[in-house]
Amino acid sequence: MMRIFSEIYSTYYKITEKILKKKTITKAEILDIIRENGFSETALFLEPKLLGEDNYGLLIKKNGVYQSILKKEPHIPLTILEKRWLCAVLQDRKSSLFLDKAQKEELCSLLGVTPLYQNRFLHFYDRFSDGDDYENEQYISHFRNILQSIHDNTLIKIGFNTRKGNRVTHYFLPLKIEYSSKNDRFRLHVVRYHKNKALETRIINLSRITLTECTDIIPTANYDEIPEKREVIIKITEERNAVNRFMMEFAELERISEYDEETKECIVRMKYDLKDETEILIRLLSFGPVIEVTEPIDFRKQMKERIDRQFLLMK
Amino acid sequence: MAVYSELIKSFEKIRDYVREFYIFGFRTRENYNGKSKRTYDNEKRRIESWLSGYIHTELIGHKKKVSVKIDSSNIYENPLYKCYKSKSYTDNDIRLHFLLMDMLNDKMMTISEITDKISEEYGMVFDTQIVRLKLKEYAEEGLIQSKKKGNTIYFTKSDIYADELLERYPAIKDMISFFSEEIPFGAVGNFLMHKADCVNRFFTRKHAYMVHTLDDEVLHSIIEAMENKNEATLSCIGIKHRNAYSITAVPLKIHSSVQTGRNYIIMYSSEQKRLLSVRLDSVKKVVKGIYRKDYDKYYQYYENNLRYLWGTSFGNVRRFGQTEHIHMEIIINEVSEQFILNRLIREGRNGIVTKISDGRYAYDVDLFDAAEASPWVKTFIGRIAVFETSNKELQDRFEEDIQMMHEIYGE
Repeated sequence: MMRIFSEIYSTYYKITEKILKKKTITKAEILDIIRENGFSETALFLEPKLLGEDNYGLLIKKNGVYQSILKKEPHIPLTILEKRWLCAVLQDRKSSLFLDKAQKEELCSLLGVTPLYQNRFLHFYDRFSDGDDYENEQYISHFRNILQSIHDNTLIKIGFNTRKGNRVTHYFLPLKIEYSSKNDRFRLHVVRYHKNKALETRIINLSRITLTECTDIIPTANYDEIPEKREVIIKITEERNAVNRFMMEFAELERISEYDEETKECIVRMKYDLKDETEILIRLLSFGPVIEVTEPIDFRKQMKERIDRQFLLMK
Repeated sequence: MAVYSELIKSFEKIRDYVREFYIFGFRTRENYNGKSKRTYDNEKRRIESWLSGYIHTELIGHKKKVSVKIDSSNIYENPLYKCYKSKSYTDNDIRLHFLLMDMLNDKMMTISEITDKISEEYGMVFDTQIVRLKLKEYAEEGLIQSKKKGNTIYFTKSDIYADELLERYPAIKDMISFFSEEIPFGAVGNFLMHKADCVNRFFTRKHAYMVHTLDDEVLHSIIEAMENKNEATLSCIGIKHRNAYSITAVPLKIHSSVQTGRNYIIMYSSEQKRLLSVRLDSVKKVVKGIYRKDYDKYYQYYENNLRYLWGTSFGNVRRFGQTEHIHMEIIINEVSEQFILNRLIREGRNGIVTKISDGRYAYDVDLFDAAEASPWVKTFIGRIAVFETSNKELQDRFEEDIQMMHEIYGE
């Protein structure tokens, strides 16, 4: 039976494989590999099993260094589980961003397995309906050009339509591609350059891009801007299973929580990107009166304004 | 007494602890009723070791609380995948793993030849039965292929390798990097990444529920049942009341939420003659049941009912099949607030949006359980001119909620 939780995918096997790939290796090097690839206590448990008295017998000590007993470097083939996953991925529309139809068919036939799952088994019921068109040729071409520029660390000329309908064209250094499962959309994080000077960071929706042209310009000036994070403090009551619902819904964000056994209330300090403030605000409104934003004051004020407006509408 | 190890035999054992530390993170050792303090300490120590760098500890009086702190927007590799890489094994397991992978390279051998060669060339002695079991296991996992010639079975290593695939199709490196962070089964993609020594450097996630990976083993069993059109018996622990129960029904679909982080299995219960949903994270064990020849009929029944489903609730058991209506009117600024109208359309699922007049739009929908749409309705607070529903309780609650919120933020 295929297993996901199996020792063949384990950290200890992987570390041992890395060590056995070396022709000769010192104890210090072995410990470095363990520290680099293991959990925080792995050295404590794995080192004796590789080098101690009661060891696995996969290494022998000669002239103060260790040698693998294997004839060749370990080379582990793909498991059926891995092949089936890859096959399932090829069925996803987004795989067209990376491979052409013919390549996908060829790869699928080479793998010779059935997909691990069918997309039809899953229904993302609250995903927005206006997601990106991943099979659009222009979209694919822009996506691949951007990927190329990220790999090469070169500037790319991008033309796109802004939300207000203006067309803008600039040179950018692409940093990362962000995918939102909720929006079913890719967004590109970039730094805008002008005459080799880094000006600002931006986020561009892939679907708004109308032009991409790769260049061979490697920018010399760096631009490090850490996105501005804000913290909001929220009080959550136990009513309507709110603590459970809230903690699950906002699991994606960095949070610190405290539970007061006496009041049966949970206080959560939650960090978010400033650019997402409106989205966070409406998500908090959706919880109704079972939560309360206590700080910061300006965030609380925004909540209050909307609630006051609603109160008046219902009078 | 067993000696402590970083590795574990059963994934189920730590699934709840990881979830608890990651999702809630406010409980201390004293809150874990029903578990011995030693068990808690051991599981905590393991999780601290696997997820070091993401662990936050805090003293509440003299009690220590542990949480896993992750900002998913800056994560390139889901740290929770590490939990899947902690399976325990025996010394013989790891020895045979590397010996078999070494000696079966481009060679076909019988079990006795393999056992002899291990002894002659590697100086280790194994019982033939142990070798046989490992070969059988590896053939099932796909690391080894077996071929029968006459009465003899020959074994050889499988011949598809991650590095060779990447050489032939360079673009799949990025594809694997991206999909290894997707649901479902991203962990499997992560195994593949590590096999190919790939690192994701470019793809990040927004609105990502990394915790879903903890349910992948359970999900795999359910998907297998769906694939084979089988019934399944689920042993569950209720999320809210922690009550143990089991249910036997036909799994039809996985309903996954990209906004609330909850996943459900939609099933048809022949006993109750109705559709129902079960939280995936409440399922502890899945036992595959009989093949249902009428599976397609149940699936069609689900499809026919889908348009009345806001998320996963089929409403009150006693009123199964009956729908409730929501009528909402929204006020927007026609010039500057078209995005609100766009929200109504793209987020409103099966509802219908109609223009009443300039700046005023109606939204109408029929649902099995109107209350399920209530959180979404509240995201429009400040713009709702009319909210009417045939669900009297929801109607009253909506009005009370606005009143209460007004009082909370009133000063």
